[in-house]
This record gives sequence, structure tokens and C-alpha cells, in this order.
Amino acid sequence: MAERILTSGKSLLFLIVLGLCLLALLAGPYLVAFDPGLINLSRRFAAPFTDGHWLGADQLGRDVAARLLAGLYRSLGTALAATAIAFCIGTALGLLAARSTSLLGAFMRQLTSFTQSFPVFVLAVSVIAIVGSNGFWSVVLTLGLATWPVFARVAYAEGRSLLKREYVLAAEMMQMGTARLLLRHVLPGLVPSLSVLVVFHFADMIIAESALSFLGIGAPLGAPSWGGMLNESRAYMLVAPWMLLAPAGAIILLVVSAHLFGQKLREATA
Amino acid sequence: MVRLLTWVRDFAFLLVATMTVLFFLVRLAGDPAIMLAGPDATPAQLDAVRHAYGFDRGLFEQYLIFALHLLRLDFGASLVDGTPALAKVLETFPASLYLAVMAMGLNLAVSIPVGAWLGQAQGGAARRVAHGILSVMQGFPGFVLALLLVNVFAVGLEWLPAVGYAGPASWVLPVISVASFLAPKLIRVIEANATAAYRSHYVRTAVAIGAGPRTILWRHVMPNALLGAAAVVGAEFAFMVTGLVVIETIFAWPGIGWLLVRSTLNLDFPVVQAIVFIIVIAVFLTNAATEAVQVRLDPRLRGPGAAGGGHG
Repeated sequence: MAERILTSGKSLLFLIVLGLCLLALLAGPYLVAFDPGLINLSRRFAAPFTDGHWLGADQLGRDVAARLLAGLYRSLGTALAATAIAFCIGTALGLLAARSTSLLGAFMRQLTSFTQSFPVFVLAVSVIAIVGSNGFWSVVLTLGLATWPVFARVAYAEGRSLLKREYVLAAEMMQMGTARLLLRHVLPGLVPSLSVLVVFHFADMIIAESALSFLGIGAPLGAPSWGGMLNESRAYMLVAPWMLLAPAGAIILLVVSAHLFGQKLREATA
Repeated sequence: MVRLLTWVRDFAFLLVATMTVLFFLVRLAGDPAIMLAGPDATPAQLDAVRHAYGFDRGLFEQYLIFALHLLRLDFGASLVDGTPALAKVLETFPASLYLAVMAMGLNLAVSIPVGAWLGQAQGGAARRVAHGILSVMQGFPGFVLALLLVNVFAVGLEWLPAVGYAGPASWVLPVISVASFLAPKLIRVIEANATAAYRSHYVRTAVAIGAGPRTILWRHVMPNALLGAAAVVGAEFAFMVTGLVVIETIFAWPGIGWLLVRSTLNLDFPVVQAIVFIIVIAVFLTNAATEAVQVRLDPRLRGPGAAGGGHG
């Protein structure tokens, strides 16, 4: 099955994009000769492919390629960390709620059914602005802590049905502890649906991080981030369209390819 | 009756939980007095501001006062211009509602025919191309699309204004931007439902008794396909507020989303609280209305034990 998933065109695109990201992360510092924060007013709005600026320069003469690369670190780091946090908390609480018949289970059900209908991004915007925006970790924590119910809902629903299977009942009868039961016998059954969810969540987190930075409440002012670059580009669309097209292209490529991979994965595991 | 009670209980729980979280987060963060009095204020001035706004009392006492005010729908005055926070928020609500309704209208106008067309048959070059576009669009970040649209149609071609809220020309780009991330999902659902309906017994019966393809599509297939899509439309309406935050900011659309961004950047927390309050109510009412409409449209959801559905 893995072969069927990986050799389809949609997955190939994602693998190529991931490979490019990895390449950029590893070799980027050697390919781009500029510091992302280096201001050089004599090179304002330098066009792409001039003076060693592969993707041009921005309104302060900073190298767009260097900033794109630095933004890639932030985007990937934020998305991976936020997804990991949401995955761990959500899956753990969802499974515990599925197992529990007590107050915790009832509370969890209530909470996830609410968060299903609550626009999380709105909450994240207000929380990040309040807690203090100029930190990598405040964005990661807020996104992770605000979005874990996505995983809890699925872990709860599927965990409930898995807990009724004979092999789980058998393990239960042999006095297996809750933690061991959930980790050894229930969690493996959740891998297909949760991995699909992880891919989509990763794409959502890339969008969320860039949207927050775009609004000026994600990455601190001046720090290189894709959203921040998009925001700065708005004033110079006519003179320097590459300031818009470079980060826009990067976000689209990463998010769309992840989405296509997720769709393929879902088809294959359905 | 029982349903109404559960509904009220859920609503109350939701409101209290949201407001509590927001209250404590706001108060635990930075010092709003500095922001109010300005960076050059003397310590005496800061103390005066703290006293005037009640920041010098205990956290719990502040929360009780806040809760009492909340019961009277009093969120306090905006820290920026001193007008009542709730009034300020309600002023911006219609603009967001217009945008949401127009975007939903465009979404339905595109999704229903396209979904019906895709569901009618499988295969063919045109449908394959449409599926490809849909797959890409499903993951397309809406606000990046909005920026690209501005770049092409407002800055490049100068056909449409880039920002503002004056006249139909300025509505085009925001409405398209919002609708663009609603449509792919709805099209997919309508398509899947229509495909399923075409395989059903009642459509086979209709074909057998000689109904034409048009009658089959609009009398037999689409009513059922749209019934299932009603839940998606409701959910999309509720979730649209997320898109509105960024899209409104891009187009300087004087709605609740743009106000939220401006208020958070200004640490204007009475307004932030009022916005979250209004959004929670709006989303909850939208979900309740969706469920009510579904029950009305679909007799199968009526009766004991059938209502709600719930999760798991």
C-alpha cells in the first residue's frame, strides 16, 4: 500500500517539495550569499537575478531569497511543533475520554463538541496578541493548544469503536492497564486516520502561521517570515512584484502539495 | 423541551468558559495602564489610570465585577476612543454580515451547478480538469489568493479598487476571495451526494418509468444532494469568520474581523472581549439554526431518538 501511495503523482509532488525544502534548509546558506537582515539601500528593489539576488531585493535592499529561506525555518518549525503539540494532547485526551465513563469523558465530549463549532483562529489571534506576539514559542503554543480538539475528536470517535473489538476486550480481561491497553492495542488502529489528519493539520498550521505574521501578530516586526514578507510586499506590488510572488509561491507550493498528499493518503486509507 | 434545556445549558457553558479564559489571559498579560497612559507617563499618572479602570484591585475581584457587568452586556469602554465596546463591535457587524452573505451567495451559485454537473457522470477530460482544479483549490490559502487577485486586478489591470467598502466594484475582490475557499469543499460534497443519489433505487425507478434527465436531476437527485449539503453550508457559515479576519484586513473592509485585528494590536481588550462574545453567539446560533433547518427539511431526523446525531 505504501508503494501505491508514494508513487502517485500527487504524492510525488509533495515528496519533491519536501526534498526541495530539505535541500534549501541544508544547502541554503551556501547558495544565498546574503544575511536575511542585511540592509543595503543602494540595492533597493534590485530585480531578480541581478547582483547575486536570485529572487531580487526588497524595499530596504534585503535579499528576498535569504529572507525566504529564513522564513522557511520559521514556517516549518512552527507548523511541525504546533502539529506535534496538538497531536499529542489531542490523541491522549481523546483516547482517555473514549475509555473513561466518568466525568472526564463527559467533559471531553462537551469540550470537543464546542471547539468543533468555535472559530479557533479568532481565539488564537486574540490570545497571541494578548500574551505577547514577539516569540516563536508563543505562536507555537497558542496554535498547538488551540487546535488539539481536531485530533481529540477523531481519537475519541475511532477509539470508542476500537475499544469494543474482541482483541481489546480480551486484553482488558487479562487485566491490562489502561495506558498499556490504549498504547498497544488502540493507538495502532488509529494510525491511518491520524496520519491523514497530521498532514492536513501541518498544511493548516503553515497557513495559520503565515496569516498571523501577515497580520503583524505572529513573527516580530522585521524578523523574516513569509507572512511578514507578504505584508511588506503590499505597498510595492507595482515596483517589485517579486516581493509578493516569492513568499506567495513558497506558501502555495508547500500547502497545496501537502494537501494533495493528504487527499491521496485519505483515498488510500479509506 | 428537553432539547431546549440542553441547548440553553450548552450555550451558558460555552459563554462562561470563553469569557473566563479570555478574562484571565487578558489580565495576566502586560500592563494595560502603560498602554493607556502612554510610554511617557509618570508613575502617579499610571496609578491614576489603574485606579480609574479598576486594574489596582485583586484579580478575582476584577473577575466578579467583570461577570456582573457581563450580565448587563456591559463590556466597558474601548481603551482607544472611549466609546462603549459592545456598541463599537455591533456597528461593524453588518459589514461582516454583508460580506458573509454575498460570499455565501456566490458560493452557492457556483457550487450547486458545478457539483450537479460533476455528479451526473464520471470520466471525461473536462471533469478530470475540473477535479484537478478542485484538488488544488481545496488546499489553496485564501489570503494568498486574495493578495494575488489584488495584484492582478487592482494593481496591474486597475479594473477594481484594491481596498474599501464603497459600491459594488469594491465588493468583487473580497467576495471572490472568501467564496474561493468555501466553494471547493461544497462542490465536493454536492458531487458526492449527487453521485450517491444517482445510484439509489428511487432514481432507478424514475428512469424506469421514463423520466427525462432534467426531471431526474432537479426533482430526484438534487433535493437529496442539497439536503446533505445543508450541514456543510451551515458549518461553512460558522467558519467563515476565520477567513473574514484576514480578508477584511487585506481589503480594509470595516467589519468585525478587521476590528479584531486592530483591537488586538492596540491591546484594546474590552473590544476584543466583546468581539469574541459576539462571535461565540453568532457561531452558536448559526449551528443551532443549521440543525433546526436540517430537521425541518429532512423528516428522517424528526421524532424520538433521531434528533441531533451528536458525535460518536
